[in-house]
Amino acid sequence: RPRRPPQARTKVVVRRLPPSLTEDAFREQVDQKGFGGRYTWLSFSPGKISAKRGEVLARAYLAFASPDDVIDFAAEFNGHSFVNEKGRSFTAAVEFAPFQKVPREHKKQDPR
Amino acid sequence: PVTGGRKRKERPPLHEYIRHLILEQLGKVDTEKVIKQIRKLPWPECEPYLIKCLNKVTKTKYGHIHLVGSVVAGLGRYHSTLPVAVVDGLMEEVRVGMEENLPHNQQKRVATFRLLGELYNYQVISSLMVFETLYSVLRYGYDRGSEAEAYKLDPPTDCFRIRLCCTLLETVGKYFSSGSSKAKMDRFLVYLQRYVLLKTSVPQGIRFDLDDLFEALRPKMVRLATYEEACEEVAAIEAA
Repeated sequence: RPRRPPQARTKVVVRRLPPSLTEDAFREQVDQKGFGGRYTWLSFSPGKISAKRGEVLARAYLAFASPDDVIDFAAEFNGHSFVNEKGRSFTAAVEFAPFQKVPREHKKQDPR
Repeated sequence: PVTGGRKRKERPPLHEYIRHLILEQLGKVDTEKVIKQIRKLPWPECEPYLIKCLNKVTKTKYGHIHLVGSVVAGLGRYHSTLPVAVVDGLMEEVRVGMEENLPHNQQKRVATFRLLGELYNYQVISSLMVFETLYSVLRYGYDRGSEAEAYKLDPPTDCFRIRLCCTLLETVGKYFSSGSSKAKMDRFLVYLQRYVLLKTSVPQGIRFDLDDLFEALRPKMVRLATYEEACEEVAAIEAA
């Protein structure tokens, strides 16, 4: 049986973002660097500063239309420093997301 | 002295209900019913908390993890954002677990791998991802950086990664019994054996886990005895 060619990976994860970073602030930074409209999907997982468990860093997942956009994005954001409100800087890491699926559009709402 | 005892965390009623459904009702009532109840919740408002709850596999009973997988798959039919967020979260857990390698997180990590396997069984993730995860477990720390770093992350006496592989294979292995996935699994088992033979001493509990795994999945397979033999096998695979 002929093998299906492996699909190019287009979903990336940006790890090690400041715990206090918000989705809007992150989006703004991404759009500012000229990636507005180039990603097809973005999901942000906020971090947390907890007295008991220390800090949890934020993450973001982005899906792009083409592999070239992924390369450009990684060149811009891999190793990019995000500075939090206290002036501490966090070096972000861009990697391919281990899970490449992206939510599909639902034609109709859950009928329940 | 009046200490007042331990305070119960106050949560909004909707959150309490989600917790009740996932952490208590699962396993007691029909899973379909739990899914139906969850679908009736006001979705955009509840989804983030729902994802959080579903990712907290350690809070459910280990024997009920397959039900969590079933709920994720069941809800995915109506809200595909949910399984994506759950799996992304799980893969982050896997990664952080490898980075930190803390003994007190071991139980949680085993539960995470169990859920990952169940999500394969419910067709949320692909076999490709299962194998990528398995190989990444063996390779993490060895593929980049110095030997010293690998030694720090995975000392020769630390056998926990073997248990993680056993957990995942035990959960999904029965579906890798024919065709290309069988070949992929056989290949991985060679790498796993080589990894095991690299360890200076393997605790009895983990040795039994391995015996059970081979007994259940490949009863006729001849186990490799020495590290040199395993290296030869790996070389043969890589040359092909």
